[in-house]
Amino acid sequence: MKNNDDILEVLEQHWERMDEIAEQSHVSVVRWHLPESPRRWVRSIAASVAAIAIGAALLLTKVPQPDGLYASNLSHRSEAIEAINEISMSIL
Amino acid sequence: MVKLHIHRERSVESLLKEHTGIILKVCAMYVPHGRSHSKKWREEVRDLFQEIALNLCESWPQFRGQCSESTWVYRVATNVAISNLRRFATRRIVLVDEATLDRLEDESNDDTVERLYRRIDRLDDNERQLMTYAIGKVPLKEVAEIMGLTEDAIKHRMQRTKEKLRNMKDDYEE
Repeated sequence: MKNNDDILEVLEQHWERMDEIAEQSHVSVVRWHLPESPRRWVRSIAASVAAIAIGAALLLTKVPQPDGLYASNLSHRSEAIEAINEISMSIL
Repeated sequence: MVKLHIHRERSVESLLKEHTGIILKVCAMYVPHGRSHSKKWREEVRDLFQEIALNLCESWPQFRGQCSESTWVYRVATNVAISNLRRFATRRIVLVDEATLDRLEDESNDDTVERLYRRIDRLDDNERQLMTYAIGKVPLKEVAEIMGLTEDAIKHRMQRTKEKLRNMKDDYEE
């Protein structure tokens, strides 16, 4: 490059060509839907664990009815609590 | 539990589409130029492009029109380039197509342009920022505001930087 070349002029022309490149470009934006903060992550995981534990415990402490369906048996409450504890511990 | 949805964000995309040129120019100004462009150069351009774009997306809601939109884009882009921000987690990904990177590489590989960029690589952060605004034709008043200097001081520094670039020897001549 000769020293008498106008630096800005050369760069300006180059940047004009870059504008043309930009016009033909394709820029895409994608978004990850993740929980917004670690705290929310922890809450979300804890809620899932609790839901699984309670669901499993209820299923285990339900007794079959003659019509083939299952119904909660309140007399099994202490067993249910014990089962919840056991399942929670095994998951955690 | 963790879902990945991909969808296009029209407003953010239109903002980026309109200012892709500025982002590319700032990338070209700040990613060091080698004798011939390498895979590393391309990766760094892609990374810096993404970082600038993400910052623009995040800062966009706070933009109140204190200056022109393009000046604001220059300001955010140069700040990102100078601070070399890196994110460990982000909720967005911005992708620029390979064809654009090819064209940018070809364009920057022009001998004169590459030699100029190699001189620019040797400027300090302030000088490079000034040159970016000067070539981008950012109004002097807005440059002064961004850099916290008077318009006269900016004019003087721009002139000095331009002279420095003009008189700089190419590195292989030294």
